[in-house]
Amino acid sequence: MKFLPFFFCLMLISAVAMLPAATEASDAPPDPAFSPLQGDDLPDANTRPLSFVRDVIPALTKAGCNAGACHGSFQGRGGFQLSLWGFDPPFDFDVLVKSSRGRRVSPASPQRSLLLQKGTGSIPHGGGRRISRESEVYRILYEYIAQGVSPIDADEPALRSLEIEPSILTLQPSESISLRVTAHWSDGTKTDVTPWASFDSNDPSRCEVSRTGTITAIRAGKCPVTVRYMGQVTAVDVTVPFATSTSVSEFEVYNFIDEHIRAEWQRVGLTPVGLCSDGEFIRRASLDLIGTLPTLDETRAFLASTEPDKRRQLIDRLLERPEYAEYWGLKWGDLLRVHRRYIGDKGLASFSGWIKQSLRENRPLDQFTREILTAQGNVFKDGPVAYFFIDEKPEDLAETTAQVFLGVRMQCTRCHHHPFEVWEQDDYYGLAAFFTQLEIKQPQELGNSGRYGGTRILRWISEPSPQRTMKVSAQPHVLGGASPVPNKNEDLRVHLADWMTSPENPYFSRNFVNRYWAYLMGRGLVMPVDDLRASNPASHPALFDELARQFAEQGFDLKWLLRTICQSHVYQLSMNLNPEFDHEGQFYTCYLPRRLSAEVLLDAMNQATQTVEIFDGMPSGFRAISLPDPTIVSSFLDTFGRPNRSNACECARNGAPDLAQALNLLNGTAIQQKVAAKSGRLAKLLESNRSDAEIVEELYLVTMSRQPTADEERIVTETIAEAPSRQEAWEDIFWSLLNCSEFVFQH
Amino acid sequence: MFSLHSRRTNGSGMHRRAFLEVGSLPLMGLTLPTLFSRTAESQEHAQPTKELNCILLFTEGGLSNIDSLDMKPEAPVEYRGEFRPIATNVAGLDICEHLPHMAQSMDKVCLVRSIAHTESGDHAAACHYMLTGHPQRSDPTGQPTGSIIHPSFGSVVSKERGWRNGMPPYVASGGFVYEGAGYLGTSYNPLKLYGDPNAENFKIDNVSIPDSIGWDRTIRRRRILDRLDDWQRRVDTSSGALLARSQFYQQAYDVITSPASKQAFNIADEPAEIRERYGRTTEGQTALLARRLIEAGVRFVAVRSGGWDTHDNNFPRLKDSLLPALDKAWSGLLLDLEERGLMENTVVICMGEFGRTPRVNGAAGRDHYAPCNAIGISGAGVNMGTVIGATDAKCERVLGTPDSTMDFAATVYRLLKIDDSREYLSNDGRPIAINNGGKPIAEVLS
Repeated sequence: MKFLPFFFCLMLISAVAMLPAATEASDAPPDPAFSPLQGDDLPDANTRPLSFVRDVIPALTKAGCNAGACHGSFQGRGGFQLSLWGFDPPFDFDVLVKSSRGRRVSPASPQRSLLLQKGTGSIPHGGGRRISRESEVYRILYEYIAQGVSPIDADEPALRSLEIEPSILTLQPSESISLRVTAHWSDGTKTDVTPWASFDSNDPSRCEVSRTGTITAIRAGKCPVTVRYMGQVTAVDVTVPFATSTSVSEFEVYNFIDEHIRAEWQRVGLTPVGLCSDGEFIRRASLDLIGTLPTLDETRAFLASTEPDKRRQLIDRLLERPEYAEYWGLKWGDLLRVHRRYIGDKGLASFSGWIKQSLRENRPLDQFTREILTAQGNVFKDGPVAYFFIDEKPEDLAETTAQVFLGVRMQCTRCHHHPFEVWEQDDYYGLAAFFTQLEIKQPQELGNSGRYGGTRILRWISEPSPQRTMKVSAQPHVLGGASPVPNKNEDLRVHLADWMTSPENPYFSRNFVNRYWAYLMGRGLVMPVDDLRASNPASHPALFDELARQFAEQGFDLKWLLRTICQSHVYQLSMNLNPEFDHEGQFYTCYLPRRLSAEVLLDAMNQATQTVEIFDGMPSGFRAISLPDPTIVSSFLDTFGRPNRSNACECARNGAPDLAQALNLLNGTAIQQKVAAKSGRLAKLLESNRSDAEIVEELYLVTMSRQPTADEERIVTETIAEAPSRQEAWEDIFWSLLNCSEFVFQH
Repeated sequence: MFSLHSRRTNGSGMHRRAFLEVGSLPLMGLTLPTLFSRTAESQEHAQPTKELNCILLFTEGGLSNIDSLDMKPEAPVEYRGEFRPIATNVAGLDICEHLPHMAQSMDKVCLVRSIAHTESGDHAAACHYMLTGHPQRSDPTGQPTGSIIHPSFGSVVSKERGWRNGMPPYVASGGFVYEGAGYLGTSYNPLKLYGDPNAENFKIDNVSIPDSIGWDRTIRRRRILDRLDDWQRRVDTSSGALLARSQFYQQAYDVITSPASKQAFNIADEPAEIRERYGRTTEGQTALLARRLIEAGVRFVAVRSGGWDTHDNNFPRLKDSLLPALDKAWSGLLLDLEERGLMENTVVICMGEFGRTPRVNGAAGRDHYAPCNAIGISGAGVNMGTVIGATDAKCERVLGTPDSTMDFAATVYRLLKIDDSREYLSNDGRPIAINNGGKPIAEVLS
């Protein structure tokens, strides 16, 4: 966050601004950069004066002149710089017309304008030939120059919205359809701007979209197409069905989630797998809700129970367990980057204690958020105020606040208009301006100093602090909204918190619904999880809306959210190792296995083997999920990807398997010590007079939460017979179970 | 155990690579397709550049440049310190009297004195500067903590080149402050060697088979696991994470049990005179191990030499242990590589994260100093027997325009034949160039 120089954002733009090929399929609509246009909705250069904003910039954009890889780069190209995709028309007018001393545009003889000569490649141009002389782009640029390069007219109607037809479509593979893009202007008029819009497929392996808006389906799945025109972005929901028929009649709907997911299966022709077993369910729900394996007794009791609603009861019980606050405290600690490097040991204790207490009380999420955003006080004592010490600069606070609480990534807009979104720089600094009237002081009476040494106090002050001057000054205003009217001495952050936590806020409820859904289902309704924007639509928009609406109506009750997801039939579907379709899990036709996170895996190993971990400075048996921050040394946790809390992105936690993990589990001495521990589970089992069948049953129950199969019992028997000793055989079996994917993965 | 290379198509006949590119795993931040395509690519396009290797000899803590490779005998005594220069086999180049073996090997070194950066505070941030080229914010927790942490040279090699001969591409001795893969993800971290190759019974945690288990039992366990791990037998191409896991298990078994690996780690095999040549120190024997690993198929080995953070007692520490150990390890490595013909395709870099203050401090030590540094580069494509750049009379600044860490990184990538305009996706999906505007230092390149 701190280190987000603008060039990263620009590199992103250059990568997505793929330059189009100069040829088009013959049946596609004509490309205005290369073909003359027909039709009566087009700007008619012969009857009205051309406008720089409404005609020239779309023409330059269509020809690719102002793309990130070309003159839209922040460095420009060949000494010529335009604003990225024409987001800054006055800048572009200045560059093209005013400061080029008549070289770039030459009204006296338009064809000699450098702009046209370079663009058509008639004099050498690093970017090659971008437009043909016969094209509509050429005609517009030529006419505009010939008409005498009229300056920007401030009273010109502004673009209000884009309308795409059709906006939802289902296509069979190799089927094509052309979109129609209509611009609605502030004077109430509308025009067809299809030839001037830009189109991008979010997944070109599923569907392609031509430069002129013709979508061609390739293979089954979901494939949103984004449409961009003059700073506005909107998305088209494109679905390519897997099959024409589906058999969902046996699927029982438990709650509204199931209805939405089922409707999508019917639309795309997919059939879900069956319900998961009780063993799978208790393991899955326990790991998901409290980050803890079920114990032997819990598993036995649950498997034996004949109560019809035992799954529902289990969910309710788990949500009241003390581990609930520990486990979700870990997740919130990652999200809020709770770390002593920012707030010292005492600040760490204070903030993480406050977070866990809030979770224990199930404090409504809007209240929790409000308490953080409006906090003042002592970093060592006043819990949530630590938020303002983890980031201090207004810009960083704006980025973190938008990303964590709204799921909106504003980083790009620190330096330029967001490449995929409507956000402008002014939105960024408007948000950051809420955090300028803050002051951090050392209490004089304590006489201490230094970031790590003493405590510090944050206060709201009535004027912007000179320490918090921003690169670009702005009035505080919420994203896309108006500036609050400040009362003297009123904490402006209250307005921000009001706006953010309002049930009508388009991001707050959706953001947390999406995160929690992803934590449980392995995949967000929007992916990446913390990247909500119009150009990144949800896979199940109606479900997303309803879940977000109900979450707000339920008073932002996190336990309600978890319970509702867990109680759905979709959550309780069986795991499928080899799904025929839907490999990415976009349609939730089965539960996708995923590796246990570092802390949960370590705790699970200790619980299964009945051993304890010794963390420096922590009491024996302290759980890994309860660790307050990652400074407590553990090579196991580092190997398995615990984040160091420097980045608020969900991606900071690495869940991927790798070589070091495999070596650790296969060949490390730590796992062997756990398996063979003198007071561990295996030692106790072998000392008792239990039969081999009883031992193998217990080992399967504590690792996989299920009974062994007949095959597995046979393999175990054979292993014991072949091994040099019974002790060694059992150690090898237990070791193997801890190395099985079924143990290491959540499923 | 399912092997990645044993099958090239999945059930529907789709080429594996095509499948992997489209079949991304739906987890936050998980990018298996990239993970696999690396292996696939390196298997499919054999290029001559594949065989280039690199050994990094890293003087962690910060080698005192003014006491070793950039001496200022004419400077006032509070600057020049206690040591005297001696002549080397390169005319006009003198180095410290406590580097006598290196004095006879400077014809095999391009000595660069022109590189400067601005992080004189924090070791981790300075390591990040020097081993990635990119700036990093300093942080007292001793880890790079910026929201973008860049991959070090070895991780880039790992990403670009992949496994060879059943050996991981990047191996590092344990204990580095930073030598990791940053945003590329843990798959490109080095295989870290915890263990002292100079010890009698040299074992590497997690890599050497523990004595308490032994070879036979390791093989037997693998068989039991193969039988019991029903999932791994059943899983096909569909579940990315499970598939990845079986690949890494396969690789782990290769590292633990492959003949190439076993032989490389068996340093006791090495003739006594060769072991002596490198010096019987941890860094000496680790440098020797590095050569053995390169021969076995590893592409980049980072050897850590610790203890260079001489804030106090600088002179005795340098004279008694640090410089003699470096002298033998470095010269032994260069000589050995030359005798074996490995200088043709190996780049050797000896460097620390910064130099040290030219003025001796009150504790007879020297502190961190990033404006001046001395780096030795040898091997394939290097203009050896030369000195590039110069510092002023008191070793306080580089004369003329210093080369930046980006320039240094560009130089390293040029030597390793890696296109430094390459962009990788950060873990939150932004394309980031591995180098940002650095130009290779022309004089270093032969």
